[in-house]
Amino acid sequence: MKKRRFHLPLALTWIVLLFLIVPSLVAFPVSVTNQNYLSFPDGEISWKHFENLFSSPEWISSFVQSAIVAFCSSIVATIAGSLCAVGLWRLSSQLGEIVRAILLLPLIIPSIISAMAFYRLWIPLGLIDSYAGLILAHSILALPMVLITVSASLANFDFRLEQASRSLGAPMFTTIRRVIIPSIQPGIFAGAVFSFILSWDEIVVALFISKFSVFTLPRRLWNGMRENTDPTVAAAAVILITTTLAAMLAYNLLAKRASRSTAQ
Amino acid sequence: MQESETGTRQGPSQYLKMESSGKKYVRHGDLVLQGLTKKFGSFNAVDSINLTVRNGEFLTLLGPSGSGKTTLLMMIAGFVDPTAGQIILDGSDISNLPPEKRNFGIVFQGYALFPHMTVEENIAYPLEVRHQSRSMISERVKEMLDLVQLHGLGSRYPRQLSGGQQQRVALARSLAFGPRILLLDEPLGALDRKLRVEVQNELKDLHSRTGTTFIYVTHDQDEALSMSDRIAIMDRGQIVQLDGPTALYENPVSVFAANFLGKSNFVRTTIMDIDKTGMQFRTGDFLIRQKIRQSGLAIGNKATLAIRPEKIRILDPSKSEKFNNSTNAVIRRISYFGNVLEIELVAPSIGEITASVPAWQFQGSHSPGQSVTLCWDEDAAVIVRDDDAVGET
Repeated sequence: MKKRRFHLPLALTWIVLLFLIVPSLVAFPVSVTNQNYLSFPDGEISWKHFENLFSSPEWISSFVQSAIVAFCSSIVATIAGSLCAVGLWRLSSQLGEIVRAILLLPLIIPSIISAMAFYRLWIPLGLIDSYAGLILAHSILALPMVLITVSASLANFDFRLEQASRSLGAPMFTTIRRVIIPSIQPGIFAGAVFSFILSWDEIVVALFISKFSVFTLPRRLWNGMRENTDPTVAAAAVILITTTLAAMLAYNLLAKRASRSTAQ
Repeated sequence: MQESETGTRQGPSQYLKMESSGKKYVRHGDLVLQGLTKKFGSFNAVDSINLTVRNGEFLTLLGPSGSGKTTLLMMIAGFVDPTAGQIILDGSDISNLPPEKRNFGIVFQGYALFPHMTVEENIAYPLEVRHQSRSMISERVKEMLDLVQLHGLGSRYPRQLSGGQQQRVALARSLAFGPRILLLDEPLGALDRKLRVEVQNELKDLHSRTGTTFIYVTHDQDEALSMSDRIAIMDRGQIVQLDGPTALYENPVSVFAANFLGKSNFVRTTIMDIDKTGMQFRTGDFLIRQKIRQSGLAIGNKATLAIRPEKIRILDPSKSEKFNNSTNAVIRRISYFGNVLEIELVAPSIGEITASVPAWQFQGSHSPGQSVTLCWDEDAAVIVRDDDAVGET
């Protein structure tokens, strides 16, 4: 009676999950190949491509650049997106909903079109191939993420807390700083993490608007894949994926802790 | 200290020359509502209310849901903009003042404590936003914790407290800055019955100790009766009746007021006679004599009498000839409530009547189907306005 029966929905779920995950895991075995071209390890594991990666000034420079761009655009997007979300929540008008739809556009428009738009606009503005240009572009792309996560937090926010704060004599700015922001912190934090990840592995816009002075990690991966078949690319991909996973994991752990501390 | 903190101008005279509804002079600290109206579309949530809330009184806005009581409170608080009318405090119109400038404390339904702050931080909040000194704040917080009997719980978070304790923190927080008026929006709604009675007593106590004006919104008649100095019964955006609890209970002006505050029987009659000591009414062949004197009524007018169930007496038919206002009835149903029995009767002369009698006196002595005599005293009934019967007069 207790025999475990084949469970179709469960099996399907696992198949879909593996289908989603496995391709991105290919980089892991390739990165430790003992050959000098992109291949699976031939019975022997070698760390030479990682050594190569960490001793190459170009790769290290790209890591640092990507980190700077991702960090800065995450901060810009988080601040701007959170302010937008709070503002739209406060207004809660018909016009506000139109503004919200417009703000979500970067998420809907194909990135190749955004990339062309940035390219055309950044040339006259002198932002092409600069940190400022790339950070600004990534901030614009990431803003909808923050808007969505912070708005979700605000939807659960008890509006009476705001009323309570004001009735106790706090002006609007104090109310936002001391009552609203602490309550929507999980949403702000999620937005920051997602914006970081978005910028960290963004390639299309980076290809269009950067060339020499800014050379992000995805950009160098792309170049490496096109120009040669050096497995260092796979090692770099492993670092890229691991960083993203680490960011997600950190977010989940912190979110879990936060929800545990605010639970009734 | 309380006065200086409020930051409002103090008039040269205690008595400001302003009249409310043409009757009384307005004193310093009185809150005057003049023609206050709130429309949502074509719906009048609050319909041209005139009301003077006296300084230091405990006023309850009592009404069913949708009667406009919470909208009225939120207009006083400043969160709802009036469509028309004025809110006047100490001679100046405060209708356009934002809530944070009004210096009114509010205890919200569900308390609205800041979940990320401890009890102490919650209570300190209104003082911090007023830039009080550290030492003054900690002293005041301690004082407030003592006032609501929560000493020792200052470092807890709201979620670690029981409903009753959270409610006391909310009170302490809204009283910490010495508000001009404390507004309470159904603050006991989330508490269980026993705790509710306890907190009612504490609230009453707190009111007399602080001397702050309390405006209290509820739909619970027991809360209203036990705590208030005055009660305003609200219906469809208007104040139906405003008076002290006893006067309201004993002399309801309308069927709605009599029904909403307590229960009542209604007898629709015609006035047969009016003399110096009272009036005589008739319904069917039943003659009723009451010591009522009310102007504006003439012989032949229709009048609806309201009689509280506890004022109906049930007698043995064999020894009831001596009583006035007595008529035959048959018991239809008896409901037991522990302390009282509610006896539903049908009297051929007046229809359905409910009597409420002490359970210990009547337990087991009566049963459905039994014929009895019911009667009431000559001062038991009052004439009420009958909104349903307007067309008949």
